[in-house]
Amino acid sequence: MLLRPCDVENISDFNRYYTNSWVGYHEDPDSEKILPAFVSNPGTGTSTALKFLTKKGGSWQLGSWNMLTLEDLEKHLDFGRPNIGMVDDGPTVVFLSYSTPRAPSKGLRTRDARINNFNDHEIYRYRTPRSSERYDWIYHAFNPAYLNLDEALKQLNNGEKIGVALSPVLALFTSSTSKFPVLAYKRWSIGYLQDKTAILNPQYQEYAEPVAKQLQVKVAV
Amino acid sequence: MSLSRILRKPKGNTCYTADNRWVLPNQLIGYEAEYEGVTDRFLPDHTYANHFVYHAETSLKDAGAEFVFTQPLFGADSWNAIHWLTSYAAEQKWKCTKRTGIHIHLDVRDLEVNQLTGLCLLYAALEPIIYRWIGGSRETSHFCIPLYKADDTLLKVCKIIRSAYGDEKAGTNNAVKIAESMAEERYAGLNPNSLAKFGTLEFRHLETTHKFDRIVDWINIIMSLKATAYKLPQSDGSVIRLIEQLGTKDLLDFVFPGPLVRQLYTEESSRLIFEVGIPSARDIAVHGCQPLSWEKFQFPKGEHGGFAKWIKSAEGNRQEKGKKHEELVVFDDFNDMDEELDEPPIQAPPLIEEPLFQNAQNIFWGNVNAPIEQAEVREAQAPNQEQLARAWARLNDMNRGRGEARIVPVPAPRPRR
Repeated sequence: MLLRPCDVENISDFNRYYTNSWVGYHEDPDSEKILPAFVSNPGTGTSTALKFLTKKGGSWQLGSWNMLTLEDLEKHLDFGRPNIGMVDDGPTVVFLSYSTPRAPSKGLRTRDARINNFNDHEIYRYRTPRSSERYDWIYHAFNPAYLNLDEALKQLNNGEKIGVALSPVLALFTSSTSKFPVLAYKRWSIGYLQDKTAILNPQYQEYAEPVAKQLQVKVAV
Repeated sequence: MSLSRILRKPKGNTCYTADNRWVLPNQLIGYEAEYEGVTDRFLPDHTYANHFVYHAETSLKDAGAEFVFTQPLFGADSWNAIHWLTSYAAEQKWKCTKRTGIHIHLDVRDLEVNQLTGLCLLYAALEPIIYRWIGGSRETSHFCIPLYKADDTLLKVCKIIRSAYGDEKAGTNNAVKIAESMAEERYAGLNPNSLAKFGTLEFRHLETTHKFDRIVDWINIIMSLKATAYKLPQSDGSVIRLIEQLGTKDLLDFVFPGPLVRQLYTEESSRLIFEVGIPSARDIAVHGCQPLSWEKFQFPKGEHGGFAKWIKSAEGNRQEKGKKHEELVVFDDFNDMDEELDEPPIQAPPLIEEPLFQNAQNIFWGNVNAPIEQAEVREAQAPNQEQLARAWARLNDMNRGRGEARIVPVPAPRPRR
């Protein structure tokens, strides 16, 4: 996998720009799997300290400090911010997007990301509380997993989930106000899916092509 | 030092001549160049040096400085000024680092709203290959974030365009207000905040370099986008279809002059344009070019079966959780505490039958949470031994762990006169 190149000149710059952020660490640079790592400790003059996020027994855990030099970082780290978008949020899905503020830090900081939710207001009694650093969001942001349409519809119809991500920009969610699963493109509800046909709001007809291409369904406006 | 420097009045050093080495020979531009290691920030007395003014730049390290055009320049003036500063910087060994950048302000005051839209659509579609040409780590820099990575800022650009269409009809200035509101979000590669400040679009992509040719190429890439905006037939979704019809190579030929096409075109260009660039352009076409329509698009009424199932199961879980929670709630009376401790429950208080507790005034709890020593049981009339023993036992039982109860005899009332 192609890692984004190092964007700092030395370790002190890394500590300066990446402190309090999440970065993607590739244990095996050829592997797709990324371990989210938290940069919090300013480290020493020659190294920085990262904590890795792992899942143990159904709960997320931050490990202990790992001291790494700039050479290690250049070999294993995917610098910059990961591309975010549709991210699993327990039973449903949310859309995370970046803005362009004058940020003192690089890397991923979910508290700086804008969150758009779809059927959140209907399940507020049952969902996990929002917090600035949701480990599950962070993990999914670095390791996005998308379902194919059949699997997604199965999970939605079973009541196993009420929102699923299909791609970084497409999602399906169910609600109490629509008989059929609603199709979301980025933050917008652009139509619904009925019998493997996507029926789009005429205002969003420009999205017909990416929807048809991604989901392999007929599109009607 | 010349009098012009002391008076801070620039000399008449502009020739106002178009220059064909630029794609748009008459195009007004603004130029900002950042350097580090600038030990002497005073520029020498030189005709072209007077085109620049020094700005302190706190985001840089190691004596960082920024040199900015004193006024927008075009043609030969901008060419000469940039050439002089670049040569002088190299001569002085000012440092070009990952933190330093060159920002170009493209004057767009002469464009119509349609043309501005076309320029933004074209830029959005070509943005990924522009970043590929820029290279280095600029794509991940937090001072020039691409629109395809900052969806929120892309939406603001759409708002500006939509408002500009509205302003054109209604004579309002909402577009300026939105652009002004982006002052804290101006760290995008394409910064629309400068529309409100100067009437320009700021391109913040390029890392500072001592290579003058590269700077010229960069400015020509920007000017090419504007030149193409002039010749686009329409500025809406049709631009996207035009791009799709032309294909990558023809599109680049349509937009850029030959030597630049050779630099911009790579094997990946097609993928970058169609998978990364066009989705951003499509967002601008949908949310910027068409007015907000309130037409009624009805989602089929009714509740989704799967959603109902999920809610039912979540409600069941919640109630079960609630029950467990109720079992664990804090005891609010003594009876519950006794049940929990598996001890025989205390009998209903014999207050009414027994003279000791006959009236409420007979019992005085100073503070129920305080040790029982503070509580007083006022004895209205002397109880018999059996009653007294029962009262003791009950008090001690009720106040287990709080200390021992004691009965304080009430002195006999004074006889009335």
